[in-house]
Amino acid sequence: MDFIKTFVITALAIASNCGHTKESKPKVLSTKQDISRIRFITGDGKFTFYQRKSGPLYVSTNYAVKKVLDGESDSLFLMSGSAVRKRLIVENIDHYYGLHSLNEIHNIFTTTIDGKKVTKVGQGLYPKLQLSDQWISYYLPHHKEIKVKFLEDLDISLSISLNVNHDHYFSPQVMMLSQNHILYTDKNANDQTGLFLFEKDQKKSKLIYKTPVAGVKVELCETNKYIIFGKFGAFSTKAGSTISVLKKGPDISIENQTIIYSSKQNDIGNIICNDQDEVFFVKDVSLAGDFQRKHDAFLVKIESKKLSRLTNSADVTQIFDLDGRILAVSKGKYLVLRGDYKTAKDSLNE
Amino acid sequence: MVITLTTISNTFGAQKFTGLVGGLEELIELSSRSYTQALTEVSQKNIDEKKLAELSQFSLSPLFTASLLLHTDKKVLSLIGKDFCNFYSFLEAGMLKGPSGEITRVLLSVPRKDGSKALIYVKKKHYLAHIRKSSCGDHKLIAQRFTKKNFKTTLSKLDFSLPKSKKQCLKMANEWVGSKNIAYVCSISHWVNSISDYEMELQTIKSENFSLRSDIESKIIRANNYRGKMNRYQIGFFRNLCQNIDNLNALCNQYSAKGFWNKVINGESPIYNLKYRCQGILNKDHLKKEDYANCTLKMDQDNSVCHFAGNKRYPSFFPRPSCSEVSIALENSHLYANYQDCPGRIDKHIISTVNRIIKHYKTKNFDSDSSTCATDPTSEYVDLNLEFGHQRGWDIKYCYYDKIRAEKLCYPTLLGSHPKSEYSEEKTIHKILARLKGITSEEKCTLINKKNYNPKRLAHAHGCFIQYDDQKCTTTHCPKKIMYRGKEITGIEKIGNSYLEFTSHSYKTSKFSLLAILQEQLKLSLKKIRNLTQAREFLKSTNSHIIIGIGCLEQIYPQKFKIVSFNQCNPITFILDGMIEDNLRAKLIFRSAIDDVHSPRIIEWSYIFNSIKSYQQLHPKKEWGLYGLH
Repeated sequence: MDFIKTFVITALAIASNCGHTKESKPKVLSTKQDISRIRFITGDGKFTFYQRKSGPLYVSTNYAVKKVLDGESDSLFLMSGSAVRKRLIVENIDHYYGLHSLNEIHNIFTTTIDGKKVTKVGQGLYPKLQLSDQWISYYLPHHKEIKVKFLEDLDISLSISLNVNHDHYFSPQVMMLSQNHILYTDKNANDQTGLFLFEKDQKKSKLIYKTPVAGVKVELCETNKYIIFGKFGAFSTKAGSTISVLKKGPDISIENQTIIYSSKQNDIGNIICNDQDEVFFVKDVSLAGDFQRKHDAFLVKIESKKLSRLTNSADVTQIFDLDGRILAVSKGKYLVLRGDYKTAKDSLNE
Repeated sequence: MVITLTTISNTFGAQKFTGLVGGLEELIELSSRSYTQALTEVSQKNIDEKKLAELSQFSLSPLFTASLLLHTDKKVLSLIGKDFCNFYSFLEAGMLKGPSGEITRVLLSVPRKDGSKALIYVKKKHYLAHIRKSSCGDHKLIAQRFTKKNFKTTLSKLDFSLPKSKKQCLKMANEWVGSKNIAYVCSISHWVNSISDYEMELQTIKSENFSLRSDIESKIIRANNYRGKMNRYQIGFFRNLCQNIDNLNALCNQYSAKGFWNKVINGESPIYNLKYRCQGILNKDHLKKEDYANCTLKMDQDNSVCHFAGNKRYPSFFPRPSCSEVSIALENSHLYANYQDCPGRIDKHIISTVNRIIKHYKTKNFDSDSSTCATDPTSEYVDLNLEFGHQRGWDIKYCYYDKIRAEKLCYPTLLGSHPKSEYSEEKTIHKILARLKGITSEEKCTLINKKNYNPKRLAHAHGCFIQYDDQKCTTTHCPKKIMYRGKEITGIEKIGNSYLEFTSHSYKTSKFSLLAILQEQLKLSLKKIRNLTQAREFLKSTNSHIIIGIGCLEQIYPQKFKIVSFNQCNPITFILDGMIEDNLRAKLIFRSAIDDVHSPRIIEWSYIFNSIKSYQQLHPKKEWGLYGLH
């Protein structure tokens, strides 16, 4: 029995690290200029969008610098894109340093990847490009309404009203499956998140899934083949975490999901996925029984379900996609999890 | 004998071993494969209890043991490590896991005459029947106590008394962990607390998979049977004990939490630490002493009740922390907070932080209710800004065109009702209607929820009412309809916004930052806090010191606020007013502007530092955002 006892002790020591492989240490993103002024860098390094101290947004290439949008010195521009790379979203937050509001709406524009053509789209929060960058969705928190607009003709739009009324900091997930079908999340009075399918023709929403307990975050992202569906419990609730794969299409059903990752711990999530069979997320790596929080970036492969640890600093809580580069934030620095850590073509000629 | 990963690896015949973490997945795969293969190979070598008794020597196969160690919950393993008889109890209870789930067959190693070893297997029930005769003699007796039939009687004999101190808790917890009952207690607790997991699992299994569905359904029936025999308190007691079995210190921190609530009830700590929480938990406005006792009992029974209780009436960011986390935080906190705010109704969240600072340093009380929990903080904020001459700090006004003076006139307005503020919306509208419609000083303008406005009522038809929709209102966004003597009044418009920088973004406007205003108006001095040592020294120097800061929300609440853009940062102000040091990791007592004032969180310094650092990098003057106020 000594053999077993010793095994027990050994197993206890290693159990908290069990079940995943580890990739090589990620490098810190390297830029030639002040990183705080960069707003977007294309994956190939050809275009760098940056905000001057005086306020305006510029785009630089190897050979030229061009103004994209005017802005005040106390405003902030934010940019995001999609894997399709037809358009980029530009958000402008006026009086950013004195605003202190999570529900004040931002000005939303789109621009081409070279920053040459800019279009004002509307005002709202959480904008996202949809359906090959031909559509955009955003949220109006005071009206509790999701707005969807056709970018080729902004007069074509639709609105979806939400029921959420007690969570003042709610941000819905929105994913257009087709021009007629939109997946989105909403919350009921018991703080359960629901995943709904809105059918434009019917002007009706159908409940696809409801979290069994309160406080569970639902996240969506899409690859060329699948919809990735993440559920992440909150704080001391025992909901745990699950990432599963759903087949794309208007007949979407949770019953046909394939679970690629599950854990009893309430991970942060913040999932990102790509067409290379990869789902990135932030996992809880803390030990049980204490209030201390430790998190790192992980990767799960869709087909093999293989789990890999990408960072080992225990303080990574955010990851995001910058035109194909997957970045993690740690100690005020950007760690490159996928893509080139050098942004050689980003020289500013201010 | 020291067993390393390589030793375990060799158990499965692995040739390569690639580092500690890297090898584990490989090891688990190997374990599963080797174990399944061995079971297939010995499928004909099944023996029963009688034949097992005839064997002169046998032991658990290392393959079986290693596989079990890699698949079984580490809390279960920790109890086996403490008393090996627990191994048999957990085996019986189905808590030991192999690659295919619950262990039903035991793989044994039997020495041959030539010194080599043969593998055989025995069904779990035969193995346990044999073991009961030879070792852990009282095992059978203990097992019988926890059968469905005897469980209720057993429960009545167990000691569920609550410890009065952390020391007493540790003593009692060690007695529980050392008792022969613990494996059964934790197995039953696991079943009962897994009901929702089982039900979720059932949803994902197709109806044609009858055998798997039936297996899970029988687990649900078993769990419900045990749950039906326990009260909520007993369920919570077992859950707390078993979830913290490998960290009794953490378990007993919860009982020192209980101690804190008692301190509040006994008057050793201010009652406001419990008042609003218990109003939310009990859904009751006026609380008597027995209500407080009932409330703390509810928190002991269900640690998660604090996540959501009170949020509908006093909305804030949620889920709020658990009851035990809040109590530990409050015990180590010293912010004066004899009021209740509701940040969810305050669009400009810096207002909550400003109000908390003012109330703390002026030790001001406010008997809040849900109609003033947003307007009172806003009133404090408006007065601070306007008295300082920082008009941009509150530039929200009601305007109208004054025909006599032939100009547009505007009055600063606090949106909502406040009994004492001269900027109250009701007073501003009255002032304008006196000019436009000649309303008398005896008539009052009253804010009314549009649901409650009834034009058929005489008072409503003849008075001045400002209608709003409570579902669509915050302190800066709240569309209104003004009705005077039954008619809607037009020509009054709300304009403007409110901006206050924590530290100014340019040298030109530095006079009007929050830090500058606090120094001037509240006569406070600032001390820049650059590291944990300085934070510790500052907070511990006196009981009135608090630290204010600004950082990126996404670093503090990453689960709720996701980054999608480069240099994305939602600035959030916060207050630190205490510190806990545990195993060399320092954690601070933290209230962001969107948190409930009575629900501080315990957050590690590294997260706060990252948040401040991210904001500093984005700031045009690279201003550091953490200051002690004294």
